[in-house]
Amino acid sequence: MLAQGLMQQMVPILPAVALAGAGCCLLAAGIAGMTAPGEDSGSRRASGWAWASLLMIGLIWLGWMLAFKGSGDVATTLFRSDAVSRSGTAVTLLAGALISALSIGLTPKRFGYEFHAGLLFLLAGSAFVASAADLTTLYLGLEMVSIPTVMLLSIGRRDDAGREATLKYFTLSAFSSAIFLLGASYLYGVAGTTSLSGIAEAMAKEDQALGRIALALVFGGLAFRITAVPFHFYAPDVFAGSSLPVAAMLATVPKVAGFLAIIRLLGGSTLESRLSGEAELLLFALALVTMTLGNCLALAQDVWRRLLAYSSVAHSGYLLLGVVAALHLGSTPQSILVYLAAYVVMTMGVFAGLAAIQGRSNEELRIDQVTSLAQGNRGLAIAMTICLLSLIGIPLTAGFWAKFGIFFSAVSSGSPLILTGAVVMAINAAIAAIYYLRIIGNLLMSPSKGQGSVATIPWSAAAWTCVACALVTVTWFIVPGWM
Amino acid sequence: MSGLLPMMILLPLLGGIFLLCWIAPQGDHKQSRFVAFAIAAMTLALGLMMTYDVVTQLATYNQQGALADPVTWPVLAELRYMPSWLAVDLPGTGRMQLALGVEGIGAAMAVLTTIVVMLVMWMAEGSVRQRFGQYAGWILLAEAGLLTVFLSMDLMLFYIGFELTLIPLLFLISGWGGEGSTRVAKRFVLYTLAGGMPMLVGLIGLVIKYSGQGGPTLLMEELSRRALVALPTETLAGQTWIFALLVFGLGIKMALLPLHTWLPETYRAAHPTTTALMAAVVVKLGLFDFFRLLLPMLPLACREYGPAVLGTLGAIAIVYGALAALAQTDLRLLLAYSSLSHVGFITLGIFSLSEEGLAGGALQMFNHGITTAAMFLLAGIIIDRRGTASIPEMGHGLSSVYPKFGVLMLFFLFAGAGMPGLNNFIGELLALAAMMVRNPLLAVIGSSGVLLGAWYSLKLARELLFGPVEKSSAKGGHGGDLTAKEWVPLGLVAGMCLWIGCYPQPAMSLVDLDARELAKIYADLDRQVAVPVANQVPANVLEPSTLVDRRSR
Repeated sequence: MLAQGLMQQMVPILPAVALAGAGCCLLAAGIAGMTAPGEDSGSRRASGWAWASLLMIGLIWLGWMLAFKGSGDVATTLFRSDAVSRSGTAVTLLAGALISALSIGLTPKRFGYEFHAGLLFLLAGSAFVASAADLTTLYLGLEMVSIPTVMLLSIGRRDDAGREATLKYFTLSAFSSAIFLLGASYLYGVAGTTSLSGIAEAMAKEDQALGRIALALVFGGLAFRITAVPFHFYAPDVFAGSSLPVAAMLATVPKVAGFLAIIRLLGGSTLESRLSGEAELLLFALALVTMTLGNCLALAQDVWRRLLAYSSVAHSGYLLLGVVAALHLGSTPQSILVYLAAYVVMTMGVFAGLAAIQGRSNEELRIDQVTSLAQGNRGLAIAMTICLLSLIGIPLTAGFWAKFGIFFSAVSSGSPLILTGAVVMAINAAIAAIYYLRIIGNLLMSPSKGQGSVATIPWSAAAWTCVACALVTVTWFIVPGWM
Repeated sequence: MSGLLPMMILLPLLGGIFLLCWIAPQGDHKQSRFVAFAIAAMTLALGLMMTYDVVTQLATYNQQGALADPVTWPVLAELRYMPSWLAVDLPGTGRMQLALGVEGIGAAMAVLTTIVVMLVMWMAEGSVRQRFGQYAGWILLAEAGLLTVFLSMDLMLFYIGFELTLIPLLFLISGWGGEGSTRVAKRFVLYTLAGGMPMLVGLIGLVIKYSGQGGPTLLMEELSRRALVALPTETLAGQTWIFALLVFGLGIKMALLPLHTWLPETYRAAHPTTTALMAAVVVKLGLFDFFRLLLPMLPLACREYGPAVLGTLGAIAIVYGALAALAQTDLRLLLAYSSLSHVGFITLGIFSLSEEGLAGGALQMFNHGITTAAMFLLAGIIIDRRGTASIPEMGHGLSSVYPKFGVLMLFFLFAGAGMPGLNNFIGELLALAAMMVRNPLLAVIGSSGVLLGAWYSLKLARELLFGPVEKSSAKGGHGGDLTAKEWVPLGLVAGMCLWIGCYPQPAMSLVDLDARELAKIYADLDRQVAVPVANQVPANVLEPSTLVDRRSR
């Protein structure tokens, strides 16, 4: 009886616990493997750790699907299992699997197992956030994402740029956590409880200034994770100053966790339209500024990773608009989750392609340095083009349904304000097309005559990851129900 | 339910992929040529079959006097393709049915596409000297996208086709164009995307606007039906924003005047065969969707802003295009601006919002398609022969050097200028006559374009074809007069122009029923609002039967 009750309580967080456990296993195995911390273990063993982490993520996913997919919603005081937690965990696991796959050839030779253990821990954090039902667990999950991130940043790259990125991320992340906590304490003060549903009720009931300040502070703290505009400054520097697998992780997992936290704060499986009003206006302004500034700054970039950093800022803006629309409608956050899933796959595809081109080098590649990929590796060129087209949102890719979903909920919200937001987003998507097309144009450009032969790019694990992402993108377009 | 329509889309789609992925990489010109011609010809055959079906079916509808359900469009039930699996599970909206179908105007545009693609493919085989297999593959993919737009009966397939046409065009323009073509191709795609994204918002707006009566639907027929049912309770403001978003998107595609700036440079830089396809069909995507989406689904906004704003822009485009064409020395730019001017006539016809104008506009979409394709192909040939696109540098008296070229060029110039007895005459006349009823001023401005059109056409003929044969024009360039391979297909097109010009009934009967059904909506609206403009001229003065006896059935 007791065991069964315990199991019942554990259901919502089982994937997260399993991920954390897997991380511990990796650490234990690494120590048992007699690799002293920091010893160069050779690239073969380093890829071994990546395979191990990929395998474990796959097993956890499989086990979770088989065991608990059919189980209904479970709510405990601290955690709950519902549609949001299921989709959020699935997106997290997907991102984790793709990062492990792409880092197969690129895992640092020193601290290899620590790197992957850290990855599993932060995935566990994101899964915690997905199923959090209480402010404390929400914060716990968010910190479980950001602390291993600092570890990954410092392991992934050990030069001045890497150190700068690590320090920047660490201080800013601590700062944003502090803001979040300040807001959370105000929320507690308003509601008298840390339970998220209790807070939502209290906020809806009383229209008070303190609640608004609290929400603004909490969103300010979360804006850092999702690289929304006033807190986006670190993104390009950190992306450029990290190793590629870590940059790919940074572009996806913290964003997934941040948006899951926003969804959780605003009501969970159906967003609470009673909370609209100030929260809506605040998020709306944040969305418009984020997407517009992100796109305009991305236009000016010449370096791959900086461009991708700003493009990820812009995508956060689109997602925020989705949040506003869902909030106004009081609907399920489905369009946001769909966008997150599509975003993870297409962004990861581009990062994987870049990783395949760049290999272990950490050089800041300029866009015009990566040309004539079609001659170097035709399959990779096609796959990267598909992922980039998906980022634009052209039909035949998942990115189209993602944008469609947000447009749809924005238009059906019926509010002229949000409708204007949708039009601004549409214009932004066209601006974004400028720089994505510039990348595609460079990728597919024929080699200039004086250049001689083109370096062929081997089929590395990262290249295969890119192809897998492209395939998933196209499959999701054909069967959007799988998203 | 018949599989004809999906076949028409799948054949070029799969053929294009097959060419691009298997045949073209082998670099075997003969094999690619065989596959490309075979697929284009089969699609053309399917297109002709479909047109035959549509014409016979429309004849029965006409004999019955009226449609069974006057609210729905004259979509042919026999050809509709709407299996239950052709549906999409959208996030947040549930399962939505998609459909393919065809009515008169759609059939005219689809068959125009298949004709032009066959023509372009045939001519490209000689003039695209490198990587013909790839070129043909992209052309076929573009054809698949275009046919998807013309044959779709739901907003989703329509939008997918509308956007996906861009990618083949991007490669066609940048891969085989002249100087600066990569930049131009990117600009074209960006312009179209900039229109396409807001258009998507507008389309979603349409779906949601009419989702009150039985849940959201993507099917165009159903949306139009609901639009008519909801018409008495509709407000202008509720339609205006959707109208604005859609017109922005379509306007860029059809190069509506202030949004036209991508057009001349793109036509100049792309390979002439690519330009022929774009000018003949791609620009029509925008115009076609006025018939499919805006006119039936947003009648209030169309009535309010159509003649006043779009009609005015069309009239300005006629004059502006013609004047700009007069000033050009580059043959391709001249044709580009003349094409802009001709599209203005179609806009005028559509936004007269009367049966004659709509029928004239639809007919003119087809006519302009074949004439302009032939003109650009001829221009491509002569530019290739003379090694320059500049009219002064080509020299005078080319008709004595290339007699067959001279005859065909003169013929198509006359057709373009709207000479009676040739195809453009009938469409332009109907469009202008109908506009005279709606807004005489615009019609007068438009008519001046006919004069200007004749001016630049004859000026071009005088400078290029006639005059003393100079030494430079006698030798310069390579190759002689048109070969049989070149003049036979163009001659067939010329024959078609003559046929439509002299005997327009079959072509008219194709578009007539659509036009009549659409005009009914606006006639009712006019009657309700009782706007003086509509009553000033008695309707029977401009009864089209006095122009063409197309009602004798």
